[in-house]
Order: sequence, then structure tokens, then C-alpha cells
Amino acid sequence: MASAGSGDEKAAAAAMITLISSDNEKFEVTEATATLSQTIRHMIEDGCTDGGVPLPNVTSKILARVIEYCKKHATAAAGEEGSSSSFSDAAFLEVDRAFLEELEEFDDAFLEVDRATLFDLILAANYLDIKGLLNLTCQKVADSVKGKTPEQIREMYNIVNDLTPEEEAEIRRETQWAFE
Amino acid sequence: MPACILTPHHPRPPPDLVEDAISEILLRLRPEEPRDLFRASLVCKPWRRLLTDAAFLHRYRCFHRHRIPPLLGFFFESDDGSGPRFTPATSSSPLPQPLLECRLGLPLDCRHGRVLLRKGENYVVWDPIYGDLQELPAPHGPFHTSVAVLCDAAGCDHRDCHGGPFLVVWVGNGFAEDLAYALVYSSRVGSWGSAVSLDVGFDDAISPSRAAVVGDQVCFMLKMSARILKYDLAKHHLSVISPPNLYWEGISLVPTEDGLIGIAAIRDFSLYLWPRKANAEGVEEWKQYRVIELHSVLPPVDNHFTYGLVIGFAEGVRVIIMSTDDGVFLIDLTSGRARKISSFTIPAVSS
Repeated sequence: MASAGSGDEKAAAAAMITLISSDNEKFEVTEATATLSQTIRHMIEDGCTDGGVPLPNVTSKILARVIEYCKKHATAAAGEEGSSSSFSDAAFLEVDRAFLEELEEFDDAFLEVDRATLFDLILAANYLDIKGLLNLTCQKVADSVKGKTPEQIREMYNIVNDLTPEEEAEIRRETQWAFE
Repeated sequence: MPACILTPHHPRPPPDLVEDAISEILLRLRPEEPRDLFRASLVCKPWRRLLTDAAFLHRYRCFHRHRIPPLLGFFFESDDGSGPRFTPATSSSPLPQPLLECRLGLPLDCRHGRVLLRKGENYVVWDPIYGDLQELPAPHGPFHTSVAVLCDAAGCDHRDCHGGPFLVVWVGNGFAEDLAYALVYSSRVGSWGSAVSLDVGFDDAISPSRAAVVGDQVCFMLKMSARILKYDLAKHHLSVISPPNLYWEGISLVPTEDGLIGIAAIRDFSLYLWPRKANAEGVEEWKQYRVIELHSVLPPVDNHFTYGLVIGFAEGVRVIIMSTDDGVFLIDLTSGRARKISSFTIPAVSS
């Protein structure tokens, strides 16, 4: 017979949140997955999640990717917590390293998207305040412009140069060394 | 206003980024190549606005506070009569080359974003990034001198202390005279303080090689005995430290990462590092703590030198500058990696 305590744990583990994308698709996720988003965590704390959480800025396609990321990272976090009490230090370190390697592989594969999706993910991570995802996606963009000229960066991310030719010429003159 | 305007030719163009998201991306541009920040500032107005905004730049420095800032390069005086030169260590360098046609003077020391130069009877403290120049009279007299410039702001991490107060520590001794003197110039006061002296022996001479700053200690080398002449900023006091018994050529001051006085020298293609540590009885002594085999840290293609000498050390970034018969190498003590930056051989460095 299950004790009252384990029943509560089960209830907590099963607490589900419904996320609603801009195109009205519903996603059922665990609270542990959803609270990787600070924005949703605050809504849960304020008791504003009954009837689902509408996310008017995030499409179903992007929300599915964001949830995939959160599920993986929430599982890894839970795995680490669980393992700390049941393994010796050496075994724990081993498990810890395996988790980190697996997460790294997951993150690398996760970033294999086109630039438009990458920008959508950045916007979603920024809006939902998911620090890990924001760091991952923004670092990818930052690293991709390394060594590139302003023209190449605009081309890559389809950014129109809104500096006047005079402004641009002046900046180039002031910092000529950076463009040689 | 949209953060960035999109052109329609892309199959599915990346969406407009809100300014928050742009700042998160620009925050993550790596500081190793300063060029990338300048190039990004020419992409569009929103990018430029952020990258020239003081609050963003403060955030950028905080974000990268655990990273070692990049070594832009070093100054040296060539013996071919062409005057002081700057050798960049990054792909592009914000410092003009040749060094302002030597108008500023001879570089003597460089620390905390400032370069100290000799110009006639004066010293010049130059901020090469912002271009500020401050002249001060050089002390008259002794034949053998060395000089160090350092930031004088309490608790400063030296990532953004341009325009702030600085100190110049000068040491000198006369030809065949027993006494060495130390003087400190404070930019706050605008003048040199009183002198303090120490008997170092008439047969020794202060080396013009670069000083090292370790906490409140400013260390200089004595040429003949390879002893360290130590000036204590807090106590206004001079003392000497004897080197370990090495009898090696080319001992350089290389403080440790945890703030101990240290030296480095090369022998048999290995770089040896010794810090000065207190033993169990509390007595300070030299302890060899690290040996870097040079042939193993250099790319095989650059492994052609037969002779190497430590000629400089960049304190803030912990990079040793090594001159060899096959060019100049930088050895990063944090990563343990080394790279060749020039095929020239350099006789003396004032990095």
C-alpha cells in the first residue's frame, strides 16, 4: 500500500502544464520541463496557469523544439539530483560526466537548424527566459560571425545596412585597422 | 522600430530580433579578436548603438570577467636603428604601426592599459586605445635605471581603468656606486615623492629589463647578480632577493597566477618556473614548480629553434614572450599552448 507521502510525490511528478502556441496548438508538459522557463515559473508561482498558458509569440513548430530542449535539460537535471544520493562519489562523477557529454551531444545536434529557425529559437528563449537555451543559441550566432566582414554578416542574417554611406565611411576611417 | 530590417530574397529570412536578443548575441562575441567587435558595429544601426553604449560595454566586461583579456601585442626596440616597434599578437591590431613614427618616444614599460615611454628629458604615459598622453619629468642622475607604470585605483581589475590615476615607480643606481634609489610618481599628486635607498653593492647595476608588479611589490632585476630589487609600495621600502642557484642565462621576472614573486628561464628546450614561497617555518624560499617542454607545446612545423630566451612577460594575460634563433614565440601559461608570431629575432623587449 502506498503511503500518503509517496502519493504526494507522484502527484507532484505528474503535475502537468498546458502550453498554447500562437497557432493554437496545445502542448502538455511536466512542471519540471515548463519551469526551465523563468517566465512560466513565475506564472505557476502566481497561479496563472489554469486553462493553459498562451504563448502568442511562439509558433507550434518552434515551441515543439523549445519543449524538446527543456525536456532533455530537465531530465538531465533530475537525473543528477537522483544520482547524488545513491552513488558513491566516484560513480557519481562518472554519471555526471556521462550526463554532461550526452547533453553536449544533444545541444550540438539541437543547433543543426537553419538561420531563420535559430533566430526564432533566440526570440522564444528570450521571451520565455530560458537561460540555457538563450546562451546556446546566441553563442552559436556570435561564433558564426567570427572573422566575418560586416557585409558577410548582413548577408548571413539578411540584415539591411541602415547606416548612411557617410556614417559608414567615417566609421571605417576611424577604425581602419579592424577592416584590413 | 524594428531591430533589423529584412530583405525579401532569402527563402525564409531570419525574423527581426528584438534589441534584448541582439544584445544577448553581441554579448557573446569572443574578446580574443577585438576586430570582431568593431566589424559587428558596422552591420547596422541597432548593432552599432549597442556596441557603443557604455552600459552594454560594462555588461560585456562583466560577462567576460573570468576570461583573460586578449594580448594585443608587444613593443620592442630593434637594433637596426628603425626605432621602437609594435608587434601585434591578434589578427588585426588597433595600435598604429609603425608606432606613430616613433613620435612618442621609446617604450619602457606597459601595464594596465598604459604604455610608459621615454621622450627626451620626460616620461610619457600613453593610453594607446584612447590616445590620452600625460607627460612627466624623468628623474635626473643615475646611470642604470628601470621604471614601471601601474594603475593606482584601489580594487581595480584593470579592464576599464583608462583615464584613472596611475603610479610610475622608478629605480636607479649610479655607475660604480653602492646605493640604488627608488622614487614614485603619483598622477594624483602630480609629482615625484621622496627617495628611498638601499646598498646593492658597487659592482651591481639595475637591469633595464621589464619590471613585474606583484600586489604591493614592484620587482626589478639586478644585472650582475641576477638578484631581484624589490620596492614595496605600501612601506616605501627597498630590499633584495637572491635568485635560486642556477647560473643560467636570461632569468626573467614571471610572477605566479596566485600572486607570488616568480622567475622563469629556459634551459635545454624547457621553460622552468620558480615561485618564491614560504616554507613550513615561514621562511621564503625558491621552489621549482613547473617545467614546460618547449618542443612539446609548439606545433611541429615551428620546432626549428636551437636556442631560446625569455625576453618578456605580459602580466595581466600571463603570456611569456620567447625569442629564439627561429623567431618569436608566445607561450600562454594558462593554456600551456605556444605559437610563433614572428620570424624575426628580437634582441631586447620592453613589452
